[in-house]
Amino acid sequence: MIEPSKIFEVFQEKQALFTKSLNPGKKVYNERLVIQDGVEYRQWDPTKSKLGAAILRGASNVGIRKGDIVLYLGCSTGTTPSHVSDMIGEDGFLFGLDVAPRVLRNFVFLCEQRPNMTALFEDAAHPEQYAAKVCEVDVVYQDVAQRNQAEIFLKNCKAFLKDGGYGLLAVKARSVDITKKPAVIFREVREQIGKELIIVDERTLEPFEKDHCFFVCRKK
Amino acid sequence: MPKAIVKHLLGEFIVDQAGKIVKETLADAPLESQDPIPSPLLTALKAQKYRAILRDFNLDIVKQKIKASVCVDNFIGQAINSMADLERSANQVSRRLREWYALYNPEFTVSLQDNEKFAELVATRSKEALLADVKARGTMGADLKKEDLDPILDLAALLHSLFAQKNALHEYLERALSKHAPNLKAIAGTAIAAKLIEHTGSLKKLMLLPASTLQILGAEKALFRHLTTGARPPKFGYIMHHPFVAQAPREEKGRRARQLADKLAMAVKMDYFKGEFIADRLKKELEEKTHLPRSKKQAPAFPAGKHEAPSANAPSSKPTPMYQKRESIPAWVQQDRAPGTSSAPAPFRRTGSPSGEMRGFAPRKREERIDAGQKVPYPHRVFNRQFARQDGKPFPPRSKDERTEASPKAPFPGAYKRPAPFNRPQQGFRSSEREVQDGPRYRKPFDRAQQGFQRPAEREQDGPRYRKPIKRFEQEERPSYGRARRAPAPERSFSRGGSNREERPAFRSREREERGAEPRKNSFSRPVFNSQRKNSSPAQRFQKRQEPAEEREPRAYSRERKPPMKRWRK
Repeated sequence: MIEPSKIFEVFQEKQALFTKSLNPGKKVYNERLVIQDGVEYRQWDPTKSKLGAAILRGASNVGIRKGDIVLYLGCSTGTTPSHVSDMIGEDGFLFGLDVAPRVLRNFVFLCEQRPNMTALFEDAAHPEQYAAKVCEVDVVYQDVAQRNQAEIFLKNCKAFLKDGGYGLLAVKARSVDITKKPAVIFREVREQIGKELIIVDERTLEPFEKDHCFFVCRKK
Repeated sequence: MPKAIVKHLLGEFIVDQAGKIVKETLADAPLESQDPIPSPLLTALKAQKYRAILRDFNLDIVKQKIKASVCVDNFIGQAINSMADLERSANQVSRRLREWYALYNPEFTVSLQDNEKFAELVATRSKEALLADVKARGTMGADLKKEDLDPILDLAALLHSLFAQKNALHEYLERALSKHAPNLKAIAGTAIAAKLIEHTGSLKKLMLLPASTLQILGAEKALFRHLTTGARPPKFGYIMHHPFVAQAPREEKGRRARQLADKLAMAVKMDYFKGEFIADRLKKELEEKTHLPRSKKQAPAFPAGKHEAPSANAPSSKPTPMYQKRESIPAWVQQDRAPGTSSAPAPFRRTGSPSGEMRGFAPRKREERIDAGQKVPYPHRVFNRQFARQDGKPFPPRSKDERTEASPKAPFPGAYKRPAPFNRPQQGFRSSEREVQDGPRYRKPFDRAQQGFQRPAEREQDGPRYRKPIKRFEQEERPSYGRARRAPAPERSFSRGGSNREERPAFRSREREERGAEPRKNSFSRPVFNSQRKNSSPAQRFQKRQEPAEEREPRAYSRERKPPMKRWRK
């Protein structure tokens, strides 16, 4: 029995997460589709999506609501963005951004199926280059495996996030510094983003992803 | 009131000082803009009415950009990967074809190793012609019907086309690279150049890499192992297959990889900025710097005149320190580059050598340097690594007679004395010869079964002749206080009537009974010793051993689990 979970717009049946499909009948990454009471749900694979993993690890609030505008940095082929797009619904909007043309090609196909998404072929490290292509957003989600992840995140939050908006950051410790312990890197990131944002939640994604940490922050 | 025009993807907006929109002109097509956008405008653009345009314009731009991002780097990457795929498939098909065709014509199959040639010949020529080529007397192959033979020949044709496709791809890569990266191609070779570009993604990204990174591209696993665990760092990645590195002696490989990577880095930069063709110069420098041997003949390590090996009692075979070697190189390198400019004799060059040797590296073994017919002073074997002595220690004795304690060369008495051979004939004799002469020099191990030895019958009746040592405290019977913090074992009196009354468990339990307290049950709180157990005395235990063991159900083992070792003594 699929029931609403404690996270807005996310549904749950025991340990399986679901979102209401915005584009019924279509699979995005070969996930399971479940129809219940005439509503189609798409199962959310936590091993493929860090946001899904963070929710299953017990994140209390991920800050995404219906009708939000999301700037998604590092959208790749659109596994997680498709679920975020489900969550924000038709009134919401999602800017998906990536630097790699190969994965963005798949993302464009996804965007064409969903009215609330668009793609940007840009480098997240240079927000000034795409400032004229977006609008202010309610949520910034970042999942880029870069050395200066936290810095990029702060730049984008500063440029586009509304006051009181949520910033979600998935930190991959192994791409920051392979020689340091993950816990040390997480602490450094926490200190760095804690200066400018309020950290609401922090989860390691242990069984689903190795050496990853998920931060939920709010802009002051 | 001052106003400003701000260009956005959607159109032009006239905003006032506070950033509010005064007037907007939406464009029909996405606008290029690098303007800083004031945040009130960004907020205003959240309105629902802009959504559809934002989406469509951005998608249009992305499609254009993705289209524009396709370039020759992508083709090179796909081509080199495709070549690897084809090669893998061709090898697999070759194996199958050989196996299959050998039923029909085994003589020809074993006579030709080259898969490409094999496929071509099988597909185009008849069995008789092929057999005639290998001059086989008769054949073990079966005579196949046409319907059975056809699939084999079809497979051969397919394999032949796989090889043809692979060769075509190689030619394509050569053409593409000589246009796109001529310098890189000339130094690295087609396959490695393509692999480097494929690995980094593009020529631009490759150009941005320092030589040290270029050197170990493709050895990421080893690199990260080095960074995380401190293991030895990799010396080379893809450039390992370059003949300059691959054909170097082992100890030279790392240095050559570094030198090659240096030149590659320069070449890539030239290629990216469409510079001139410098590969020839770089290659020449590479050859000179590393004194790459021009011929296959190895050169001596020592200058002329010092060709003899150092004698045993004056060992001067210390390896030349690296800095000295390096210092002496430039002199003849200079001379080599511009002959006639310098008259200084090249320190490493030797003219008039008996075999006409050229300069080059020190070969690893001395034997390799000895020419046929040349008289070589004793002992050339000392230069074998195995025999060499380090740092002034004496060489091993020349003859058997020297190998005595009295030898003045021995560093200490008994230095060269070998341990007596155990159960072996003496060295220097072949045991078979000795045995023919006067029987074996050693006794064969006594084999009871062979001698017809039988244990006396009465011995088996009265139990074993030995007693098992009594272990009072078996490992599993020790009280367990947890793993991490084990409490010190209580002082125990090993005899039953120990002097320490308090320590005697039997006494304590009697005391408890007198007090009317419940007897203790928890074995964790109180140690239970063997002495308190049933069948605890050696005699009792022996008794128990004699009883037949209880029948137990055989334990089911999972597949992965190995059954425990059988107890070898009961």
